[in-house]
Order: sequence, then C-alpha cells, then structure tokens
Amino acid sequence: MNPSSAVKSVGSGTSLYVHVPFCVVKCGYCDFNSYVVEDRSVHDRFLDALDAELRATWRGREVVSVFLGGGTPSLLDPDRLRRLLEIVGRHVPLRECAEVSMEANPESITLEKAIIARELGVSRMSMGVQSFHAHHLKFLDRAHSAERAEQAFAQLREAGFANLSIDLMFGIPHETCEEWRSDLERALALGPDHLSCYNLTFEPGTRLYRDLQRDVVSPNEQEEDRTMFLHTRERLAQAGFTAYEVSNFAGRGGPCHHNDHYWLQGDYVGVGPGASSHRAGVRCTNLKPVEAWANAALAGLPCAGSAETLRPLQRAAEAVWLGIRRTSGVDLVAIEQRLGMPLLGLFEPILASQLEAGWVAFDGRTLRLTPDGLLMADRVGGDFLAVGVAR
Amino acid sequence: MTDTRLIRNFSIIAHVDHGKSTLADRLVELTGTLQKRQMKEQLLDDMELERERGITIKARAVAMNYLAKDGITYQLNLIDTPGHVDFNYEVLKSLQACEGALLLVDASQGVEAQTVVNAHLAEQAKLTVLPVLNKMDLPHARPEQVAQEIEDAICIPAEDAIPVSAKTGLNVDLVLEAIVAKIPAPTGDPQANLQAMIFDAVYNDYRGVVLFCRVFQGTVKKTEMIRMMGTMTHYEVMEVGKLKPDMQPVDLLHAGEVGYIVANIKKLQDVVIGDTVTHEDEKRRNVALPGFRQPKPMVFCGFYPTVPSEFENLRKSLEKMRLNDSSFTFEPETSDALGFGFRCGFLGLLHMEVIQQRLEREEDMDLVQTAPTVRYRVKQTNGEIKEIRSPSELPDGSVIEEYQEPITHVNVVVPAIYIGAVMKICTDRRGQYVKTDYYGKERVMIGLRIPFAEIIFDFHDHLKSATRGYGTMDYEVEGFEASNLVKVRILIAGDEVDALSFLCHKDQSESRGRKILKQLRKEIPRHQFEVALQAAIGGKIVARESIAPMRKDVTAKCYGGDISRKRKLLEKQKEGKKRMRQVGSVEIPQKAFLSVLRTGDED
Repeated sequence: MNPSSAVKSVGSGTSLYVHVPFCVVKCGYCDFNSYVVEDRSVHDRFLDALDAELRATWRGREVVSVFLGGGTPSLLDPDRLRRLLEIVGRHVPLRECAEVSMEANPESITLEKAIIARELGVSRMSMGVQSFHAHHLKFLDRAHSAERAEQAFAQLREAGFANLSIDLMFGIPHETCEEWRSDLERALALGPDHLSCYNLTFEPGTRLYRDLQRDVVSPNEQEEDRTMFLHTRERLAQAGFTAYEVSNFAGRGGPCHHNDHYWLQGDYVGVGPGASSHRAGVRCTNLKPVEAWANAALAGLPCAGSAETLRPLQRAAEAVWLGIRRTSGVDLVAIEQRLGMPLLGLFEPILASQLEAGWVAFDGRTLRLTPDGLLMADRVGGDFLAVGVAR
Repeated sequence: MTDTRLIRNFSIIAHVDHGKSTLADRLVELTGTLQKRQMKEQLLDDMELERERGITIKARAVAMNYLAKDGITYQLNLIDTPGHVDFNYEVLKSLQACEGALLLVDASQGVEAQTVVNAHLAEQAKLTVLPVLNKMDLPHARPEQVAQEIEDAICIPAEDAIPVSAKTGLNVDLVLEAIVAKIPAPTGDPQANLQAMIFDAVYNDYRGVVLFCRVFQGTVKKTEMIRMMGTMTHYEVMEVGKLKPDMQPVDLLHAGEVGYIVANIKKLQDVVIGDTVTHEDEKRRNVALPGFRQPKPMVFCGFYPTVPSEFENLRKSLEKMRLNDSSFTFEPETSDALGFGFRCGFLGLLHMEVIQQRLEREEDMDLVQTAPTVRYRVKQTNGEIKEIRSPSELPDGSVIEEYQEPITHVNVVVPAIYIGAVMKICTDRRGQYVKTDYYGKERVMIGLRIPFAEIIFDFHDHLKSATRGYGTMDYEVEGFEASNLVKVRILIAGDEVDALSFLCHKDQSESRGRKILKQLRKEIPRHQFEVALQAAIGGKIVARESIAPMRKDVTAKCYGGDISRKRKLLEKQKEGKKRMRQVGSVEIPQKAFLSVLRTGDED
C-alpha cells in the first residue's frame, strides 16, 4: 500500500492517538500528562479502560494513522505491550494502516518489546534521545546514557523497523553550539529515517519552569538558539533530510503523516488520560488523572474534561497558524473551500503587513514563510489568530 | 421633633483592623435598627473595595434608637470614619460632626500609630473620647497593659476603658450605656437660621447628589431653598431623612441631628465635602462653619484612558469619584507618549490605589497610570514659588533659584527590638531621627523626619518587612525644605518618554535611573530591532541599557494535545499587545509606566 496516497486528502478519515501516561521519571522539561507509577496493577486498569474508551469512541471510523505516545509506551512490560497493541488492533486494523507510530525511550525499549511491536503492526518507532551529552541528559532528568540510546537504536533496527525517528533537543541551558553540532552528527551517524529537533522551551508546570521563576536556571541567549536552529536546518539538508515543518525533518522514511494530519486540521480521536481529540472545529481533552479517566471510561461515561468549539473565523485562523509551520505552506483557497467561507478579504490587511515585513510569500493561493519568517512563525501565526478572535 | 438632649452623635476611631466595623455592626444590631438577618456582614463598609481590603474609606452614617437602662429612648447617630493613614482629613470632617468618639483599641495589639493620630484629631475636634478595648475574646488579650499604653501615649485616663468583644457581643451594651451617659448632647438652636455641614455625599442616578449632613443650627425641610456657601449654588430640597442605614424620609431635620438631603443636584462639582448648607433666603442665612481646611493633595499621577476615545468618559468617572471624595483632584493634561489624560492628586499612595481601583471596577475604566510623584516646589529667580506636580511643569533651568521638596513627620510604632531596623530604613531614605517615646516596656513610637518623596516609594512595605509586620506608621506633611533635585529624563530608542521622566534628589538620580532602565528592560518586549534605553540628566546620559532584538519567535512543538492551549496562549498575547502604547516605533506595555514605582531598593 502506498502510504502517501492513503493520507492525501484532509477532511476524510480520522487519526487515532493513544496516550500511555507512564514514565520511569518525570523529566524536568516535560509538560505532558505522565506519571511515575510503581504499581503495575495500574497499568492493567489503564489497559482495561483504554479498551472501554476505544469501544465507545472509535466506532469503526476510516483510519488515517495511529500514534502511540506518552508518557513512554515502551515502559510497559512485554505482555502488557502486547495487550495494548491487541486492544488497539481490535478496534483499528493496524496492519492495514498506512502509518502506525510508537514512542520508545532508550531505558525501557528492548529487542523483545521491539519485536512484539513490529509483529503487531507498529510500522514506525520514534525514540526520545534528546542529547548525547551525559551532563545535559542529567540536567534534563533523562534515565539513560548516550551509549544506551545508540544500542537501543540498533535493537530497533534488528527488530526490523525500517522507519526510525530520533527526537533531539537543543538550547539546553549552558549548551554550546559545538555540543549541539556533535549531537547532530552522532544522531546522523546512526542513520535515522526521520529527525525531530526541538528547541527547549520552559513550559509552565514543569520543574524547569519553576527553576526559571526562581532564577535557578536561565535560558540560553536567543542568538545562540537561533544559530543552533539554523545550523540544524543547514546540516540536515546537507544530509539529505527535508525540513517539512519547524522542528521536523524527513529522511528516507518521509514525514510523519500523523503529525501532518494535526497540522492540516484533520479529525483525530485521542484515547487515554489527558488525550485530545478534534472533530470539525470541536476540540476536547480527556480528564488527566489516570484514575479519574479510567473511572469514567469503565463506567461508560464520556472521558472529556474540557472542550471548546471554535467559531468559523477562529477555525480558519487556526488553520493558517497550524499550517504555516509546514514548509509547503497553507493553501488558503483550499481552506476557504473546506470551511465554506471567504478568507482572503479578511486576511488581507495582515497579509499585506507581513508581506512588507518579508516574513511571508503568497502566490494568490499558497502562503509560505520566508526564511526570515520561519524564525518569527509565532508572531506571524499569532497575527492570524488575532483576526480569529476579533469580533 | 426629637429633644436635642436625647441625641448623641459619635464616631468610632481605631487603627485599621482593630474591629471598628464589627463594633458598628453590633451596635446597629443591639439597638434593633436592623434585624440580624438583614445585616450583611460589616454593614458600614458598603463599597466592595472596602470590604475586600478590610479598610473603611468612605464615611457613612447610621441613626439608631436606643432604649437605655433609664427607660428613655435616645437617638444615637454613628458617623463612621475612614481608618487609614491617607484619610486624616476625612476623619476630621466626620469627627467635627460629632460630640464624642469611641477610641477602639485591639486588646492584644495595643496602641498603634493611627490610634495616636486619630485620638489627637478627636482632641483637636474637642470631642469626649471613650476608650474601648476590643477583641477580649482572644487568648492573648492584655487589657491592663493596653490601658496603660493608652494613658502613656494619648494621655487620657483609661481605667474606665470598657473591655468588649465586638465579635461575640461581650459588653457591647455597656458601650451603649456609656455613650448615653458620657457623651454630651449636641447644642444648637432649632429656631436659629440653618447651618449644616456636608460630611459626605453620594451620587444616585435617579435622585442626583444625596448630601449627608450634620445640622448645627436651625431646621431644614422639603420645598425649602438651600444654599451651599462654598460653591455659592442653590437648590430646592426634595426630601430630607435619616439613615437607618437606608434612607428613610422625615418631615424635617433639626439642630443636633444627622441625616440626608435630596435636592435634585445634578452638577457634581456643586458639592464640596465640608461645605456649609444654609437657607437661600438672605434673611434666613447663617454663617459658614469655621475650621474646615481644604485637603491638599500631596501625591500626583497621571491617569490616561487606554483607548483615546474614552477621554470624556474618564472625565465623567473622575467627577463622580471627586463627588464623595473631596480630597481627590484632577485636571486635564497631555503627554506625548500617552495622549490626553488627567493629572490627579491624592492624599497618599493608598488613596491613589483606591481611586484607581474604583475607576476600574465601579466605572469600568481601562487606565494607564503613570508613576506617582509628590508636590515639589521651585523658587524662581523673580522670587515667585511655583508648584510642580509633574516634571513637565518645571520652568526653564535658568529661572530656577531653588528646588524645594515636602518633608513629612513620620511616627512609627514598633516593638523596641526593631528600633535598629527602623533607623536603617530612615537613614537609607535621607531621613532624620527626631525622638523616641516608650509605651510600657516593649513598645516605642519613633518620630522621624523623612522627605515625602521617600515615603511614596514603598516605605510602608519596607517597614512591614523589616519589622516582621509589627511596625505601623502614620505621617503628616510638615512643610517644604530646599533640596538638591534634578529631573531625570527617560529616553526609549532616542525619544524622550515624558510619562516616565521624574524628579528626584541628585544623590539618588543615577541609581534610580539605572533601576528604572533595568525594570523597563524586563517590561518591554523584544522588538525586531535593538531598543536603546537611556536615562539623562540635562544633556548627559547617566545610565543606559538595551533590549536585544527579537531573533527567534517560534514554538518548537505543536501537536494534537497542545493545539488548544498554545492557540489560547497566543490569542492572549495578542490581546495584551492591543493594550500597549506606541512611542515612536517602540511598543510599551502599560505596566512599564509604573516601573518608576517599583524601584525602591529591592536589589
């Protein structure tokens, strides 16, 4: 089956996100909904509840892609990992799905688990490496070494994965450009099929954010972040990778269609504690605590803890904000048609000022960020969002 | 007509938090003026803000009928007073409408700075002062020592001080009896020509300005023409009545009584608190009451509407504020950076904050507030004294012979172990030590002379933190002294921002300029270009900072779970941006205009 043809059109089909909310440690930078839980019976309860939620929500939709994220899905022991994939597989035909991604961490992935995942239909693994420098790994609270990451990567290959992605992080406090360059080289040496390179951000609710507030840590100079960001794009282009989004680079494995589907404002169902879903302008997020979510799911009640319905104009503005981060840009005409409302007139003033600033290029149909604009993507996207909130 | 001999007009004076409003509630409840279920907690603090901050700002009055133990029913008029350092003038006005005052002191906290000041005001108004010790229900109440403190500090006998608990109601009946027995009945001749004092006023959309008055001589009733002597305006009385505490009409108010007058007064500026009301008919006119000093604002700041088109609405709102707060002044001014706005005068910093918050809450105004400044003076070479309420009012340097700044006398009451800490604050703020008085063994009142400009820079916060919350203070402006002042100009990207410029003592000008720039560096977001910040005295740059240009503004991650949250965050940032002020090519958040305030000496 040709993966790219299966995910071509937006609006048709739904993606599935499965959230596994467990981690060995809670990393200092991470604001995802994850918990350090020793008691394995919680994992079982999680799996039971997941089955119930899938039964209630998925209802045999046409699947675009599946993503098992977290937390750390690879933390589940082999039997439970098998059960997880069997449960999901009961509702969604994983083997027939164009893209089934799973997240793994070096400290918990094993050859055995990798083989199970491969057998049960996972086609793509994304491994969180973040850094190859021991002091940075320590600063980030990572539970593995650089060597273990390399070994784990080899094990994934050994299990037969042809599409492997690595997550890296730059802009860690006190990180030098030299260190980041060497991280990139070491990652490239492994021969990944996809790379995600994230500039560290201080997210509210994290340990790092609190440290920042108390002046225990200070962020790197913006100028250095910029240098690292630009170096990443340059170096990865040289290595044959296509930068298809701000932080994502496609090698032989192509882009991650699941994420592209988010950015194209596609519909998706998220299951698991704190998972988000979107359908036609309605966005909702599940209850976050594992127990609260599991209780709702097992009682056959809706698991959503919050929801919002976007107004049409807000939805259009969001489409631009999300889409403009993609290298291929946003097709404004397509959005007009999809949402059935005229946009070009509404966006005209903001477009004019951004064209003048040299941040965007527009050919009458597709809006793209220029190289300067890429560095200001939040500013550009924010201006469009402002049009969406204006009455 | 109530026999004047059966009327008692009194106030309660206390330090903030000593339980004044609670005692007022108990009196109202005990006299049956209101049923318990009708009472909202702390009845007299009827502005939302007062309740929230636990301070009483506006004076209010309530009339109670009390059946005393002698079998006679008395009319007790309680006039509430504000309890904060900035409001001494309002306290005085209220006191002058009374014959007696309850001096309420927390039996565990003891005498505080405001207790002393308020008691002296009561003496000045020649009132009979009855000491009352409150919070006797607390385990650490120490009535004997506190009574001694009252004798030491205020020099009034306190052996008869009534120990009460306003909270539980303990001995509140004794307070009522003491009011009847010890506070003199008002004098005044109902047959004389009308002479009444306005001690408060409120604006009602349907009835216009409602005057709250104490009648000293004569009577006033419906359909009479009255004249306000200060503003020289006249109106026809539509209704008179008493505050119980809601407005209840009566046929007439006579000498000795406290009540309200409705006269269809629509022009807010016609009413000045402290003004004398008499009859319009020349034959029936009385003379103006003596002893009212117009309060003089000592702290100034600019209020600007966020949206320029709101200027006229802001004016209307300010007029409303001024109506029941005669100590607040305003007049139009313009700023290059902020456009059209008003220069407003206040008694002190709290007063400023209260007005600002009332404007935002009650009037729904969105304001930019500039940093406060005190009233300075300049002696010009031609001998003329010019008052300076804003750095922009400074005359040309060549005609300035001398700068003068206001000096305050500050009383600080603290446990003796904090004397050293208070002295340090005093020295740091160009102050001089004057004297120390001991109250009992452990508490002292320290007298200091400190330039007023130093007080408005978070002096109170520093005092509180240096004394672990025990220090209380009160201040009064004594006069002006020659001072070596300079104007520090703040330049952003080369343009002078008049709203940020300030006057200060030369010795502090550089360090204060530096601190403001540091603060601005934090408050002003990055732009696409480097933004230079400079502080200058005359043509000389004394400090500089710069805001590095925005080099990267792009979120790393945005996935399914983040979309709602990140979008809302950006939408909110955009909303905030709308409220920025553009100076040249630089956008300055409104908060930045207050940075001059927050430069005390935190680092």
